[in-house]
Formats: sequence, C-alpha cells, structure tokens
Amino acid sequence: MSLSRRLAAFLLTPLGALLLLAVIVPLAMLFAFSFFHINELLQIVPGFTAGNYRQVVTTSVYRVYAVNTLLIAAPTAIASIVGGYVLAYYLAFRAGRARGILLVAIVIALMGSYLALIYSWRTLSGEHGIINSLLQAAHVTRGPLGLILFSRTAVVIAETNFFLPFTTLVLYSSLSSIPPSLEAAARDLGASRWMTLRRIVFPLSGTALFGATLFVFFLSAGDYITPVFLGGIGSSGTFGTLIADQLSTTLNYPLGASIAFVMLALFAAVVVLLRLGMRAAGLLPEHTG
Amino acid sequence: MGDRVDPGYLRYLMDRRRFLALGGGAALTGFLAACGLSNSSTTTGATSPSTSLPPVGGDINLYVWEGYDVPDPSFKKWLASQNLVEHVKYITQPEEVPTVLKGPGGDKWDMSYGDNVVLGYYKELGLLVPMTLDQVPGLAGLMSAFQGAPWKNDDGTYNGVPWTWGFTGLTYNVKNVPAPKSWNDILDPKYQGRVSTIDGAMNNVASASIAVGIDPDTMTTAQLNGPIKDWLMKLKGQIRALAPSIGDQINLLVSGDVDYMVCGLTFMDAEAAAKGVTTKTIVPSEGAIGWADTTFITPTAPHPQNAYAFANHLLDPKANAAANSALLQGPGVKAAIPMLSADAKALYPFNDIDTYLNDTLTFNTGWPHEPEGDRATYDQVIATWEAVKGS
Repeated sequence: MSLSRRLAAFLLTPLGALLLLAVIVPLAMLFAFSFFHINELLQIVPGFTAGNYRQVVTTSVYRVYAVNTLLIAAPTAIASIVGGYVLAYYLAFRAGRARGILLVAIVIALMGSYLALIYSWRTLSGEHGIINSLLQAAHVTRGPLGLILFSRTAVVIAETNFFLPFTTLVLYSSLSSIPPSLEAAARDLGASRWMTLRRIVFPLSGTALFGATLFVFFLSAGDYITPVFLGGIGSSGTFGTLIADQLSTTLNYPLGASIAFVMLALFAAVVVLLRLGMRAAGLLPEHTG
Repeated sequence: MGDRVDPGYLRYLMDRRRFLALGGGAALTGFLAACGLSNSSTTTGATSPSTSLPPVGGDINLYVWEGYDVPDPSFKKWLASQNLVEHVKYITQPEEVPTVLKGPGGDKWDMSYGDNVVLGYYKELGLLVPMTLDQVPGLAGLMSAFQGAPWKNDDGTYNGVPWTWGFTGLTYNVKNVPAPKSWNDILDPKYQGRVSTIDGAMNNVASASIAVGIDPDTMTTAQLNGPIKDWLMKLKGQIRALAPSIGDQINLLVSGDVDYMVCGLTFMDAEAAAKGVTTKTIVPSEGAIGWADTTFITPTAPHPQNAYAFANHLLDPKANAAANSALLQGPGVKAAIPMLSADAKALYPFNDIDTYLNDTLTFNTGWPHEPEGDRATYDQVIATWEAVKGS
C-alpha cells in the first residue's frame, strides 16, 4: 500500500468508525429488531418472526398509507425541483446584481423554525386567515377555500415551501459552475433556447437534479409532522406517521422497524427508477455513481 | 408494598439487560438508548414510609398534562414556599406515557399521569409505585367514587392521586352552532367539515361505544368491528381535521376552523374563553366517558420526597378547589366542593355528586392486551382507529 493510500486510510478511520457506530450498527440492530416481537408487557422478545413484515405487506390500511405517502412526496419533490430549478437558473444566469440579495433571502427562508412555518401556514390559510379573507374580499371565492388547509394539497404546498430553499441552493451551486459561454456557444451554433437547456444545461446539472430530487422525496416521505398538522383525516396518515405511531403509541418497536425497512426498500426502488429514468432521458451520464 | 419493586418492572429491566448483553458493547447500548429501550435505571428513588427521605426542596420533574404543572397561580406560591423548582414536559397523548417513561431519560421523571383506562396497565408495566396514606395523608379525603379500583388496591395502597376528574364529551362553539343533545347530532350532513376530534384511538373508540350504547369495558371484537366502527366511519365523513394534541383541539375551535369537537373537555371551555371564544362541553344523552386524571410516582423518581409533597398538596381541599376552579374540572376531594368557583360548581350536580359519578359517567378501565374471550383487545382498538383513518 502506498504512503498516500495509508495516509488516506489513517485519516478516514475516525470517519469510518463514526459511520460504523452511528449508522451501520444502529441500522443492523434495527434490522434485527424487525424480526422480534413484543409481549403484553411491551417487552421486546428476541427471536425470528417474519410476522411484522407480513403485517406490513398484508394490512390494507398500510397500503393506503403508502399510497398517501407517495401522493404527498412525489408532487412535493416535483414542485420543489421545478420551482427550485427556475429560481436557481435565474440566480445563476439572469439575476445580475440582485443575486446577492436573492441568495440572502433564500438563506433567511431556511432559518425559520419548522413548526413555526407549519403554524404560520395554518394561520394564513385558515377559515379566517389572510388568504381566504383576500380571496373572498376579491370575490374570487364565495366561501373559505377548504383545499388549502387540512388536505393533501395543503401538505404539499407547505412542504414545498420548506424544501424550495434547499433545492434552490443545491441546484444553484451546480448551475453556477456551468460557464455562461457554453450556453452562448450553443445559441451561436443555432440551438434554440429549449434545445440549449435540454442538451447543455440539464445534463450538466443532472447530478444535482438527481440528488435534490431524492433529498426532497425522502424528507417528504419521512415527514411525520406536517401531514398531522396540515393534512385532513384522509391525508394525515403516511409511512412517517405510521412509524412514529409504532414508536410512540403502541411501543411496538419491532413493527416500527419493519415498516422502516419496507420504506427503505421502497426508497431504494425510487433511487433505481429515478436513475434509470434520468439516464434514459439523457439527464444523467452513464458513469454517475 | 411501598418498598418492593413491581415484579413486572423487574422482568422488564432484566430483559433489557439480557438483550444489551447479547448485543454487546457500548455502541449497541448507545443505539438502544437512542431507540428508547435502555431504561436500565434501578428503582431506588421512590421509597417506603419506613425509609427516611430528605427534606422537601429542590427539583421536581413532572411529565404531566399541560396545565397540571401549575394548575392555579397559588401553586407557584406553594412551590416557592417549599423551595421546589419544577422541570416539566407535557404529555400530548396518553399512549405516549409508557414510551417516555420507559425510553431514554425516562427515569428522571418524579411524577406522571394516567387515568382510569390505563392506570391498572401502568401498574402491570411497573411505571408506578403505590403510595400509602402515611406518605400522602390527603388520599383519605378522596371522593368515594375514587376509593376503589383502579385507584385503590386491595391492600389499602393507592396507585396514584385522582385529584381531578371530568368527562370526554362534545364541545361546541356556542355562537356558531346549536347545542348538541346526542352524539348523533354531529353526524348531520350540514355539519360536514365542521367537526374535529383528537387523533387518539382510545378516546375515540370509547366515545363511539358510548354513542352506540355499548359499555366500552365489555365491548366485544364483533361490536368493535360492527356498530362502533360504523359510527366512527360516519364521524370520519364529518371531520375536517384531526387534532394531534389537546392544545390543537382548542386552536381549531378558537380559529373557527371547526365548531364541534369530539373528545371535548371542560378545560377547553376555560382555555377558549381566555382567548375570547365561547365554547361549551356537554354530556350527550347517551352518556360520556368519565376520567379521573391520576398523578402517580414513578419507581425511579429521583426526588420522591418532593413528589409526595406535591401529591399531598394537590389533595389539600383549598388547593384542590383552586386548581379545579382554574381548570374547570371536577375536584377529587369532597371537602373542596364548597370552595369551588361558581363556574366550576355549575359544571356538575354537586348536591348528589356520588350518584352522578357512579351512574352518568362511565369510568372505563381499558381493554385487555391479551385475548380474553370475545372481548376486544387494545391492539384491535388501535387497529380499528388506524383503519378508520386510513380508509
């Protein structure tokens, strides 16, 4: 082993140990838990049972929760990526002197407390909130608009609000590294604006697009707070809330662990599908890891 | 009894230790702690009357319902007079209590709460230490309705202090909607989207069983999956949002987002009034679930002397009246009745309160965790509520 490789191994050892202790071991333990069960005294009984996984797969209400999770996470990811991309593109190529101010505004938006944002949204979109009051005053609606609070739409809007600054910054860091001359060259060679975007800008920011999409999708799918506060009775149950229920209500850690691993498997499927889809669309190079 | 550790709790600790040993190493211990499974504290805190306790004063750690830490301003003065400093965490759902007390850091709490539904189960789980009249003399002044199971044990000890009680009824916005007479009144299509309830299986299923005329304590699986689930499905059709906590129930009523609240409490009326909204909580004609909030002392209480003092103060007739007047709830102490505020006195027929507590309210004691004949189990109750929410 060369000196530089030994040095690298030496320097990475603490990080590796931290990863092992803080991620790998807990994950392995959680996986082991998912095959245990609890007794009537809420004691975890070690053993091997596939019953938890069977329950997750066969219980119809869990499928409803899975679908609801997808119906919240997918639109949230799409809206956050589309909105974030537009903002990031503007910041990278069009904002000019306003760039600094806009970046500060986006960073400030990140600073708000998560719960404060949820309650702010409830105040804004409530029956007597500013949005409904304005809509009614402008005769756009006759009564309060129910769609913007206690619904799946409300959850998607609020989560998009939370995640938009993250996606904007991630995408901006990627787009800002694309030399503007590339876009100019493409236009000089006769490419339309859309073709330039499609053939030059999107592929060069594909990795960031891939990462940001997954980032938002996972956070949204795992969110167990926003759906509870802003979702209606039919849309407040997600895989995130289901896991939280097992850990806080029924104290059934084994079942909670098995739900978490089913969710992890679904996440892995999403990663594979998104990567295949983006590669097929030419947005992600074949060699991207 | 007071100095003995509950066998169930010992079994619980032993299992955790064995599991930790199997897991091996500090990393696994840390992980278990992070997962809330390593409550490996010893049960040395709460003690028997024969054990000498340090003088009252210092910290008292309360994991309690919001408002129960300082139910009335006079409690602040009392705490100061005893040199007590409260450290408080609020309960948001009754189902959380075992999780928190058994989870990481759960051994730091001196006192917590359970009602008639869960108290027996908490005892089985080893979450509480029974107390004696020597330790808390005020227990002798409890109303007769609370001088038996699940509050008092056959050996004369008490599982906790049921100092306040009430019912889980229907709360409505007085200005916006008419007073409901029956649970079924809120199922009227014209109130669709004007109703809410707390997101909790036990309270909703118990209220639904009362609504359809079934005693929750004898409820069978067939009844749970039949008329009770049907009623809950109808309720679901009316609901605009589920409230994750009692505070959120109040917010929904105050903001005007809903007008009827299932699992309503008279406490909400007091809180809503403080925010300028008039609500009223009633017992519908079919009856309502009664509850007696019972503070108990944990086996790992780090400051048992302070916990006993606090428990005893809650039963002091004057303090009990002040607390329940402020909370708009019923007093657990009979001698407190004459000292209640006019509003609190108007809540219940105190001239014949024993009959009211025994006949009008149903103080159910929960569901078995293991199958018992055709009785519905706790897991089935939870599953039914999940199914209703997810359907």
